[in-house]
Amino acid sequence: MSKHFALAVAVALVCSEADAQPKPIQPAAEAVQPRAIRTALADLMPEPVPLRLSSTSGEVTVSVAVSPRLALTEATLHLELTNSISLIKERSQIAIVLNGRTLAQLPLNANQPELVADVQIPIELLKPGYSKLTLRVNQHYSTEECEDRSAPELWTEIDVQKSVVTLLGDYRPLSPRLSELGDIMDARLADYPGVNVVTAGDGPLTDAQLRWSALVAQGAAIRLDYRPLRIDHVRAGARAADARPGPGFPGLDQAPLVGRDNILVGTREQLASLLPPELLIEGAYVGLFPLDADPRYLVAVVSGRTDAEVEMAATAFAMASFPYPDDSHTLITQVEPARLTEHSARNTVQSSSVYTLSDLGFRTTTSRGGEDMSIEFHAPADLFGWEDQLIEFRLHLAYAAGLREDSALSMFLNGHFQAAIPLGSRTGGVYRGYRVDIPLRSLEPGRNVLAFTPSLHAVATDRCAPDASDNLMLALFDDSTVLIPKANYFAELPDLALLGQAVFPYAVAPSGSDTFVSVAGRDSATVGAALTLIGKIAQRVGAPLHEAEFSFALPSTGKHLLVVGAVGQLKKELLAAAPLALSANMMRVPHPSRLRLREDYERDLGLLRRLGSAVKDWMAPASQRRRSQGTQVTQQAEVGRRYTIGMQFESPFASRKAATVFTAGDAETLVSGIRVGVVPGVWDVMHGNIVLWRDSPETLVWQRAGSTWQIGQATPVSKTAYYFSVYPWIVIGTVCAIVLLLAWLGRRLLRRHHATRHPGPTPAGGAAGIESRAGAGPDL
Amino acid sequence: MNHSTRRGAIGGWLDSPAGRLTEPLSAAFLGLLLVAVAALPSLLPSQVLLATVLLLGLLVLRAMRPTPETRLACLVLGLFLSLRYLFWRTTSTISYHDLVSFVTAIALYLAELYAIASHVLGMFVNVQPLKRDVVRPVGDPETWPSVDILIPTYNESVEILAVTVSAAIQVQYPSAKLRVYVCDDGGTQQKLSDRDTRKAEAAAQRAASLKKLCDRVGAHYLTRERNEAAKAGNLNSALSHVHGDLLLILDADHVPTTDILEHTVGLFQRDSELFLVQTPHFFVSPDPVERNLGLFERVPSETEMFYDGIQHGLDFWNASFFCGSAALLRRAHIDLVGGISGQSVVEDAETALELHSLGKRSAFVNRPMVAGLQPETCASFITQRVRWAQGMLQILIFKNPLRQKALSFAQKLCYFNSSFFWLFCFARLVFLVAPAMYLLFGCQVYDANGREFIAYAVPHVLASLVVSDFLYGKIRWPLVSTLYEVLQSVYCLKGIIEVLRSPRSPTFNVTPKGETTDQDVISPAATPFWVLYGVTLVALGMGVWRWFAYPEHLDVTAVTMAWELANLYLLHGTLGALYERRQIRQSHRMPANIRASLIVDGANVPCTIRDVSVGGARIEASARDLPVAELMVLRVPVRDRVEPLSCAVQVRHRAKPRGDVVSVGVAFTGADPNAVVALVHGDSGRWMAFRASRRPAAGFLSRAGLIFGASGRAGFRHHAAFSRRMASEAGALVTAGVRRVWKRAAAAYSASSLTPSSSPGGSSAGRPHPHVTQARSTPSAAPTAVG
Repeated sequence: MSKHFALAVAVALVCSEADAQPKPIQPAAEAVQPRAIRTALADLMPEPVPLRLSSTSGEVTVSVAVSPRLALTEATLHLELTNSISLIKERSQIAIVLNGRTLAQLPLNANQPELVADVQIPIELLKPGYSKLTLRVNQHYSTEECEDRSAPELWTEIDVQKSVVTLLGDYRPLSPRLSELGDIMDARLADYPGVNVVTAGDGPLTDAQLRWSALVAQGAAIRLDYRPLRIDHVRAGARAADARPGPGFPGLDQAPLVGRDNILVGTREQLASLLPPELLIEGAYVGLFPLDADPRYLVAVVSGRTDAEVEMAATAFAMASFPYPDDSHTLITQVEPARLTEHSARNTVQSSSVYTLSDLGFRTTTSRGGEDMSIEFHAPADLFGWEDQLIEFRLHLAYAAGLREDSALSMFLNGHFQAAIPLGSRTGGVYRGYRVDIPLRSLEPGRNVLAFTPSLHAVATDRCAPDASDNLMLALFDDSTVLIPKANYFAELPDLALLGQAVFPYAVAPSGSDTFVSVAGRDSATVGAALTLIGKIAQRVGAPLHEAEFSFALPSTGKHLLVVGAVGQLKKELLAAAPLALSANMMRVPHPSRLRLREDYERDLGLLRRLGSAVKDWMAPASQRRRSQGTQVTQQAEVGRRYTIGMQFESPFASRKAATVFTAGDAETLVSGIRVGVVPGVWDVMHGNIVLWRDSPETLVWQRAGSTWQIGQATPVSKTAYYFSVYPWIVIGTVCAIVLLLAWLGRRLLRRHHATRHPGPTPAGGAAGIESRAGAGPDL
Repeated sequence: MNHSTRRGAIGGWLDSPAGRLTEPLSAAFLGLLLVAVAALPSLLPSQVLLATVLLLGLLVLRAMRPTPETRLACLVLGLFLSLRYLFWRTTSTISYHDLVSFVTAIALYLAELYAIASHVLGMFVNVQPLKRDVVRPVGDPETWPSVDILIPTYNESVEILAVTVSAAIQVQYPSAKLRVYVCDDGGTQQKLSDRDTRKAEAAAQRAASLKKLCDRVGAHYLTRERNEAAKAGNLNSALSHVHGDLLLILDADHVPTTDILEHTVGLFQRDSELFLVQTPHFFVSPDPVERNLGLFERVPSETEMFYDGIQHGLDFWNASFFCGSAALLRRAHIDLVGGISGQSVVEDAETALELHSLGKRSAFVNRPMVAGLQPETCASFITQRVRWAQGMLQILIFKNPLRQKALSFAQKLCYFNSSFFWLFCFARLVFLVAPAMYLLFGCQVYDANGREFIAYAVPHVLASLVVSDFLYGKIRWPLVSTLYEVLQSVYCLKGIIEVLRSPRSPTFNVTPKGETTDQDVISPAATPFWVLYGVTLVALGMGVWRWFAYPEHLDVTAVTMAWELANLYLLHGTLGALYERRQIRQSHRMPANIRASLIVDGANVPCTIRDVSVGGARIEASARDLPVAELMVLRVPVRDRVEPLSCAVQVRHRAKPRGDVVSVGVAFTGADPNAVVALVHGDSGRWMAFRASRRPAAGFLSRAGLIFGASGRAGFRHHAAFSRRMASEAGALVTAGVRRVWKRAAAAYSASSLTPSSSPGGSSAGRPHPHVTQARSTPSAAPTAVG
């Protein structure tokens, strides 16, 4: 131990500045267990759909992520596909290409249409980062030159679920530096094991500890980007007397920490017994160390002398873009978070703004042969635009000469076709400011993907002519602009879909200044569930909610409320306002079937049928109307040990503020349920204001119940217009009532005017009245 | 019981002073609320839903028995849909693309704004038409007010005036209380001493004939020194010679019925503040549009919308105004404003505006009691309408009704509406040109797609149609107004621009009456419409090209082409109206149903007069009883005459019998002219019957179909005539060309064949050949032959 410690001190003396702090102990690497990371091709694709390659040539490219933390020993591609039985073996094949190098070529044989192959991938080709794995097919049904390139029998279908990339290797022993934090908590690790947030102290967890934990959890989550994560809370224990002391953290019981990265958070006093005595914490401190018990894993220390310093350190840790030094530790002296305006989180576009494509993260790209180009950006969840409002694109692009006149650049927004730009000139062309309008309402709340799909065809006299594809090029320039029109920020709540897609309304202020997170229990399971949830939210926002309040109590201020806790831990006043009434031995559940039926029904109907349906509904006896809120079933039963429940409703503590509650029968169920809940299969498909799931995403059910309310910054006119759109029958009824009242009052006024000004004559009735005296026939 | 009690309580409270104040406030509040709701933006599905429901409501109201309540509800619903369109149109469809597009877009927007404002004003004016009961004079006839009938004339024929004066003399009223004056502005000293001796002589002859006529029938002839201030000056000059309590003013061709005073004077007795009783102008001849489209006797006259519709609405608001003729005026009130006003060229409306401003009242009696003549040709029709347009615009400029403090708010709106209406020419031309601007030049004049157009514009148009049909359906058939407006648009716009440039420049142009045309001709007024027609055709051709060239704008192209097709049809119909049909009949025969008898060879044969004019009649009788004869005697009872009219008639035509009924056309020979006039023009009941007969209970689509068919056929007649003319002119051109070529060839031949032999031994230069000299005398051949 002393040898290692001396080495660490020596390193520290070399690396550190004037603080002369002892450097963390560098433990010796122990024998590591190899791990196999298996990733199906489906998980590497934007949409897990069957992959069908058609025509005489086709290819698909996926990105294989390799983290520098992973020491690879072997990599293979297991490929399963089915090809057309019309293909001829002599000319049909599939090539597996990695980063431009062909790894293997396999014949596509009509006699053996089911192909299973395992291809070794040279690990030296798999550099840390993202490698491009291309599956390229050449398919022919004839040995002749003359062949229909688009013949329907030219196809190969790859089973993306059974085709798997397997990476064998293990995590490297860490010698962590702050600058490498992103390579340790790395989104490229497909099997990232998760994070323990470790707090110290024997007493109950305080609000301050909760806040620090939440901040560091968000920091970890943001670094892991889109990876589903698991964050647990661990109370640091003292090393057992019989346990072997670690060289770095001699007082820390490391058994619960093995196999995961760990973030130790607390004041210097709270952590004093756990940290090496030579570790001097003289301010807001962030340091990285390998875990003594297993140096493949991390121990991050986030601490300070005072609560404020710990909070500063935790905030600094949470800021993913914080410029960390290339050292193992640092003292934070000041944190000035960016002042983000509302709706500005994570590449979010705002109304009345012009962006270049480079602002949205796109770089000038030349598409050769028709490769897609895509841009990802976020839209505010409450962006409310009218139908005639358009997003105006001014695109700068160029395309090569010799394209056929049916060549075009198609634009898709979230997979839906929006517009096409003809590329019809055989001499090539350059468009400067080509205008394309897309309805504002086509934007989805939250993440949007705008794809440019070139369809480039070479000029060919007939199908027998050889392909000339070198000229199939199109460049899209990143100084093209996007104008988002002026729109209101206005939405109707409750809506868990908006929470899932854009963390609405909690992330309207990206710093979380209008958010109160209440954790109902101080036990580690409940806290872990809350940290996982907060981490997920931070991932979706792209920034930590560092100004959000975190507490074990309920709010005293009027903020949007997020509550995590088991049913038994939730306060009565909260449960009383929830649409799903829960208590220790009672549940009142609105029956969902009719509501769901109505939702689905209306979505699919045309206007006339909706009209008919509404009239029918209106005429039906009250008991049979489909607009009922559903049957309320009250049961003497607990919610059970398998369900996790999410509910959103108007906060009982503040008007027009949302309260979202995630709960379960007990804390253990809750924490495991939240781990399931943050995977895309649940989080991205939540709807309504009540969701319920068990141990897998497939078990998710949702419904809508209870009252709604609107929030936003819309003007009164816009709000009224919104009601008009949402409740047209109310407006129609109002108009009819006004018309009738006006007619009645107008009639009275006219009658009075008549009586005053024309005491003799009789007023005419309708249109016929004025000629009633005209006579019906000749007088004579 | 409780319900009625509650109603009674509410009604009682509303009739209390507080309630009386509450009602208008509530109505204003609800009106503002309606406008606010109309201004709400919405998503298209909601708008479609709203518009569909309200349109259905509108149609249900239209189908219900008309009551004041349903009428108001109908108007408010229509108003709401139009306002909704207006707000959407204003806020969502105008943007800057380029200067030409922007200017066109603004022009179109202003035109639409005009159309909607005019529509809304029309709703207000006609919200509650007033039906007046007949008020006959009461008391001792000796105490009845005296009446002077003034017949101003300028250049109308003596024959026309003879009928009018004869009818005026026969008006039923105590003879001591009635004087008839012919106010001749064609016989003034100025006219008699015209430098053009032919004109002076004609004026003198006409004046002499009129004096003779007056002497014969017992009327008075008046004239003056100079023709100053046109008709107003003529009347004011006459006022210094007459002293009756009431003035009945008749145009020269407005033949009064005998009962005109019987139905009007009583109103003056009842209301001492009444200055005017206006009656409808009823026409026994078709206007050129009616005649050229063949609509007379089939559809209501164009003027009926005003006299049988709008005047009722104006009357309710005490804004019925003087229309220049067929009206009784109280002399004392005329004197209050210094006589008939003459600042504008519409002295009648101007005088009424001044008297309404003094708090005096007017009334409208909807009984046709004059029979007049319409202008016979499109040119004279346009002359008349341009004068009206200019005059009403002059009133707007000189005496803006909205600034007349003494007028009530309703009166201001009514007068403003009457003037504002004449700006239709601007809107109509913009509607004709705007779609062509898009189809020809791609001007973005209306920023909307097809779905938005269907959601907002179509409901507005349909609602306007339903409301218009509700207000004027029986008296104004679909498309008729549009055709008339298109016909007048180009010329009225020119007149209006003239007024705007120089408000006092227009002069009073007397509408020509009694013209005849002996053959079908294309009106000279058709030229600008041919230009528009050509532009529209080219634009439609471009529209077809756009259809294929710009598939992304298919919906806009489709809507615009539909609009342009409608324009093409309107121009086609207008050209049809501008194809003047032959008109040789001097006196117009009016339908009748008068029982009479024919005496032939001593036998008395009962018969029925089916139509009649001052020249003759068509009579139906039993074919068995009526022998073939050239001369017969017709005996027919005449209203207000003890003795029936008995006169010899000459059979001009005897039709083939249909069953037992034979129809003969006869001419009056040797009849008492006064009796004939009394027979033809004496009975207002006949005019009422005729007017009613033109209002069959056809549905909207049938009526539209009738107009569509008639104008379409007339348009094709115009095209055929135009083609014939073009062919004829082309033939003439070809003939002239052939002749020219022939002469050129002949000249060349002559020159080549004669030169060597005719100038032996010397040059012909300087010695013109006789053939060359001859050729020089032919202008068309000269340059070539000589040169």
